[in-house]
Amino acid sequence: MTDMLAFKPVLLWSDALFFALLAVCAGGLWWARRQDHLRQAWLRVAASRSGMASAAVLAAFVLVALLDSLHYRPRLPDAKADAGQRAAYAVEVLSVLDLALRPLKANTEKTYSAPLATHLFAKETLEGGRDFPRLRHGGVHLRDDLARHESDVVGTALRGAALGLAAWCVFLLAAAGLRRRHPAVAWDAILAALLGLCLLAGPAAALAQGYHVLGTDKVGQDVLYLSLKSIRTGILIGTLTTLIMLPAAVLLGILAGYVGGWVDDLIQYLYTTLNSIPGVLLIAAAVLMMQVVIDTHPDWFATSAERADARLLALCAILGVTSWTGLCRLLRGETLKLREMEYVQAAQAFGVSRLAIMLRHILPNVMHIVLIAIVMDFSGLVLAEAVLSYVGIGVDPSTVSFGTMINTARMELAREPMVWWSLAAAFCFMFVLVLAANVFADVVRDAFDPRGSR
Amino acid sequence: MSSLLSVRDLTVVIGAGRPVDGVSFDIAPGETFALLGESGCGKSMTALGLMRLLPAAARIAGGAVSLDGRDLLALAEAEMRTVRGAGLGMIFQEPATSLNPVMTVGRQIGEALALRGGGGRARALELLAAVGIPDPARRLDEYPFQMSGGMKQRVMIAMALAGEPALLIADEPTTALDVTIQAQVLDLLKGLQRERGMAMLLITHDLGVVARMADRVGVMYAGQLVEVASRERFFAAPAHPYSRRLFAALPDAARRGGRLTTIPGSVPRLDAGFTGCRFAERCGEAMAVCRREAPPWREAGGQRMRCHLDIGGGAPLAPAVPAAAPAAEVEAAAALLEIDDLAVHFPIRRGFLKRAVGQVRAVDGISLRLAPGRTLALVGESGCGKTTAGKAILRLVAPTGGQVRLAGATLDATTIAAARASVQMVFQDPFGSLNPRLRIGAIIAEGMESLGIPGDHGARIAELLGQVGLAADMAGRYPHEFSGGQRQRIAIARALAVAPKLLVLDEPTSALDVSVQAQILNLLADLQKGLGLAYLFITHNIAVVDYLADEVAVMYLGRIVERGSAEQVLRKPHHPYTQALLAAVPRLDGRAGEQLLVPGDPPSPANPPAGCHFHPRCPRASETCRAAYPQAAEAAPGHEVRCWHAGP
Amino acid sequence: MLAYILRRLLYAIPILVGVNLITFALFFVVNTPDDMARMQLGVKRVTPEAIEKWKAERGYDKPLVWNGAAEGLGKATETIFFKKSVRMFAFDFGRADDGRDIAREIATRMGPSLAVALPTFVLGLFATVSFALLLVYFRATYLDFAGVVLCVAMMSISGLFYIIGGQWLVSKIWHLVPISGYAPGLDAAKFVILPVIVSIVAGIGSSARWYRTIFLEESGRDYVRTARAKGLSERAVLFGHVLRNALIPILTGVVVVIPTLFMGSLLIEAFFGIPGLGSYTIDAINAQDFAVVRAMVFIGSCLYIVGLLLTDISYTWVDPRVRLG
Repeated sequence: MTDMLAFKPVLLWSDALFFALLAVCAGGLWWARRQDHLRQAWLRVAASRSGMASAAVLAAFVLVALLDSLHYRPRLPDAKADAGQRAAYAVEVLSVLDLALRPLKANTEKTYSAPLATHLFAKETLEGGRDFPRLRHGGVHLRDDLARHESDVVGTALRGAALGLAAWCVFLLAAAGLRRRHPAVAWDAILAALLGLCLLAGPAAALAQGYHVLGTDKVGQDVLYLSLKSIRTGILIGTLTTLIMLPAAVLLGILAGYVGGWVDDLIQYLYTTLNSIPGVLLIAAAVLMMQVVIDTHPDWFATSAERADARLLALCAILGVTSWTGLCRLLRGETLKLREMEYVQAAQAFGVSRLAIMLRHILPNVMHIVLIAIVMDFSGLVLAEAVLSYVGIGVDPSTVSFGTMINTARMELAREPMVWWSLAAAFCFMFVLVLAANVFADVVRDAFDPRGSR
Repeated sequence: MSSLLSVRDLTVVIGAGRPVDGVSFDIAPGETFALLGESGCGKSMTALGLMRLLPAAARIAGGAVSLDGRDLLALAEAEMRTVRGAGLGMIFQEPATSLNPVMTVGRQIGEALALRGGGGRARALELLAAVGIPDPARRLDEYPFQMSGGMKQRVMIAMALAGEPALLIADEPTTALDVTIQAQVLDLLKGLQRERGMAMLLITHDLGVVARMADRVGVMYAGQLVEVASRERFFAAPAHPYSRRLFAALPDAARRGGRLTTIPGSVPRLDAGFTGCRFAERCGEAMAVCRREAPPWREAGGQRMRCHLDIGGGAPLAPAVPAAAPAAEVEAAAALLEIDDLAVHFPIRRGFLKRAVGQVRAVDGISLRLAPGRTLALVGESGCGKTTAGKAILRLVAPTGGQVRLAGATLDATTIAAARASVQMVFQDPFGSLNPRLRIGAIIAEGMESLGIPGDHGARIAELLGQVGLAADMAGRYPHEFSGGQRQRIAIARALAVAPKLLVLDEPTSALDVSVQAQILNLLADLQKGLGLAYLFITHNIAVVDYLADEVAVMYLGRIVERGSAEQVLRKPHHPYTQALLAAVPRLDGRAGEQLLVPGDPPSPANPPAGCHFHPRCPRASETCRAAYPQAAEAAPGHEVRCWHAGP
Repeated sequence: MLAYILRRLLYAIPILVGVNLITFALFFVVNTPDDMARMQLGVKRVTPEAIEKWKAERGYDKPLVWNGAAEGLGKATETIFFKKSVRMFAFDFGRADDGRDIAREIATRMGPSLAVALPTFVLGLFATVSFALLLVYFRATYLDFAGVVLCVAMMSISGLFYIIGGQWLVSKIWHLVPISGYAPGLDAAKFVILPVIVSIVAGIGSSARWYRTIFLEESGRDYVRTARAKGLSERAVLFGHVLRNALIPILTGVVVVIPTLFMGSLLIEAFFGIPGLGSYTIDAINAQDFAVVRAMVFIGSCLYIVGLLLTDISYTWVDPRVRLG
């Protein structure tokens, strides 16, 4: 018989790649523990306060993205339970994050409402004349006792904060235990960052039970929910793009630098040509073309989520194609230098093959550049996604992202009074993510760059 | 004796380390005081501390510096600026990087002049002329990259002189220069000092330079002065155990065939907390008290040292064992390495289609013979092509002409693969020659794996590490845990792993301190004796050549100008270049009377002079020399010279 | 020098050919003209006649690279590749979907683009370098630290925020200048001032931090120590020695963009209603006017190559060691 699960797991391509990436990261860290120089460098990162604080924040974001990457299709409730009948599953693809935030997702309003509001943002004609109508979900528990609104908000927030603090204490205990085993790690910075997160998340979670913490957007969706959903898109674009371009950049960069001759000429020609096309235009042209492909082949995708996912991956690939040239050139230059190192010549004196020299002597000695490039590129890509989606050459309009959020919200700035919360939420979430990434990237670069760029 | 500069208890800290720890000395007007020490002993930091030009991480933690009665450490930064240049001038080790690359020489000197009320171009011209730069009017408008290393150092000196300093600090002023150029620059400094009555603080690691220049000597070790004495006294009877070992570690002809005295271990890390004497760990005469208590200063006859021993009290160091007479009959053996007319030319590409418009004749037809178990030294100054020649033998650089035969078999692109186990190379830079990402064991095993040498590699690695004087368990460590000398041992072990018959040693000790150099030279001698290795020893260091070479070939601008046995070439040189080279080496007795100074710089191998390459600098040059390159002539059996006017 | 420029220009030809092939492949091979027509006319219920008409109007009804039906040379020239791609080498871009001549449009739109991009570039460079120099002058002090923190914070903020925030603050709250629009001549100033300021502020964080790193790296060099040993003041060292040498790496990133200033900025022009090439491109992207996008790609590549050439030439001005040949 067929499975009668309450849900059917869905593995989107981007999920698979994201999990693969996390697995690679975990494996890489495990491997790095046994490599002396890598362990030293990571220990320097771990000892840095700003590095660890930003890492904690990044970890929180990655956790959200991870939850949002566990996709499934719920079984339709009205599916006939007859034996032999295949269970029917919803067309809509949900994630574990959606499950956790189900009230936020389900409780939509009619249109705009301000953060923590009880009424809609715009007046409507009601029975008693034009007035602000009550929200369907925000502040319903207050009933008609609107005077309690403020005190209820403060009270709930305080309760949430206490909850957050309690959660933080768990971290505190865990850290106290870990500190004894790894005294060099900047635990206090991690705890400080976690305290900040807990104190934000606690009240937000508590308030979200009864209110729209960050308001609702034009079609009444909860902005907090949208912001949290945007994280996955941002992180995927920031990481998968680099992942996609990495093999080409590393392979071609080292080949050009080490082999030289016509190989070098060819690779240089390739990246000069790609570089010479203005980046945005190349992306625009490629995205336009990809859009045509996707639109003319609707039969390729079972669900709209798959289609949006294909577009997301294609965007990553396109960004990757346009951005590998920088790293490639960097690696070529470094390889040219390493090629003249005496240990490479010593290997040549033993007749070691070119491939073995590139793998044993060149690659491990340029990996720090690759790693630095990965973390440095991340924040730029997150920012680029917003701009591209805004211009209309980014992710699928149905994919929630910072760019699409800003795009739908921007026209409302002209309203009086202004609808600011959508934009503010998108910018704030993006700012925290990118800032954490930038700070972390700096720490990683300082720890891995042998020159010590400071 | 009234002192011009007086330094009391100067202490510089970097983090937890103290690169300079309580250094005190005085310099009288017109006097030259030399600070002598190996790398990392804090002598450059002392100089930068005096100038208050320490790097950002370092700061002066205590002490007093007074120049002409002015307390320099108490001055405001703006006042200190007036002292720099005018009170204290300074020249640095690396002339190549110490001049601003995008500013003309004239402007850089002019800047210094402008601070003291100008004098303009005329004065700058005077200065350039004073430091012996030919055609100064033209040179004034040139950029540093258009000048040779020696000339850049002269410009540096001119710049320092612009402020007419009372004291010139010269930080390793000739270390980056070739020996013939070093002789010129030292001469110049000495002359200028005499003319101007300038005092000088000379910082160097080279005993020969000290002997040539200094009035008084201070020896530094691990951030402290350990001995201060007049030059005569110091060279006649160095007192501190460290000083005495420095002398004993110097290779020279007298110690040929014998073992050099070495100082075990290496300079301690400066962030290690010291109790007791800092040299105790490496000192053969250390007593229990040395490890417990910091030694006091002792003084006798104007000589002061910081040691628990009395001056003149140490046990005499074992004199070098005189060499057993070298076996001359080895000559009869068939040559292991034969090089005929080896040439390496690099094309110079220019113009619209990048056509080759000329050639850099890095190696221009050299011929050599080397018998098994012997050492041939290939001597020359930087840029003469000696390293390229060495690499061309292993085809690390593709030769453009000539022939290399190893044990009778011609080495070419196809046969080299089979010969790689027979000939190996050890490189100059101990830090660049080991892949930092590989463990020592993997580094040593690389050759065996690549050449498919059978056997238990693990056991072989342990054996090799033992052979070069390292512990077998070091195979699991990474290169950065080792000092320069240890790394060079590892590099030697790597080369030995494939059991070669010939080692090409490319300046294997030039990046090492004297005490460590002695360890490596001893090791090489042992290995040669034990394994019957032949060495092609590429170097610019005449003292090392004198110590270990059986045969010597002198290279100038891509060609060999003189070759023969060590005895012939070093004792009875016939080529004027060889003679100049030998004369330029500073000697420990400080004798500089009959200096034969070669003028000018070596020309570029891209554009060698017509005729004999050496004629523009040669005192014997004649019309013939300008017209044609001399053929090899035998001065004695086995002693070949390429000179029209060869003679002792 | 002349030989060098000539060689570089010759080298540009294969690059432009490459760019041309890439765009050709993107626009005509990935999707057939039929696909595009269907896309433009609405995917569903498109008659073959409508598609043919759409293609004919735009000249997409020819074979891609080889026209077997044509006569003589026409076999090669009566093709989409020749008409649409090869002709670009003669700067013949054809017509946009609205029927206007693209080349003419580009010529008239360059002015407004430059009016924004040029002041942004010049003032931005000045502001960034000054800011970086300031930080380096006060290096290792709290001012420097605060400056770096500010830079990192500023570069973590989305460019969209600067635009939206700037428009809201300056135009809507303070009512200082119009939110968007453009007027030719001197009147342009009041329209240009806000976009220029916004672009400079948006870019200053990352560039100032990068320049600071370059300056710091340069001020750690031996020749700077020599200059200090002469007794030069910190200011003389910074301006006389460090700045000049630091210019060399900075030039690489800066000179290459000068020619592309003509292209304007997509975002800024779109937001501020500047009728330049940037907004032209955006409009074309949104209207899926492939002819315009293709033309802009080609022009962008040409300008980039000119930028590379200018970079090399500018090296000879600041670095006496560089001789082109």
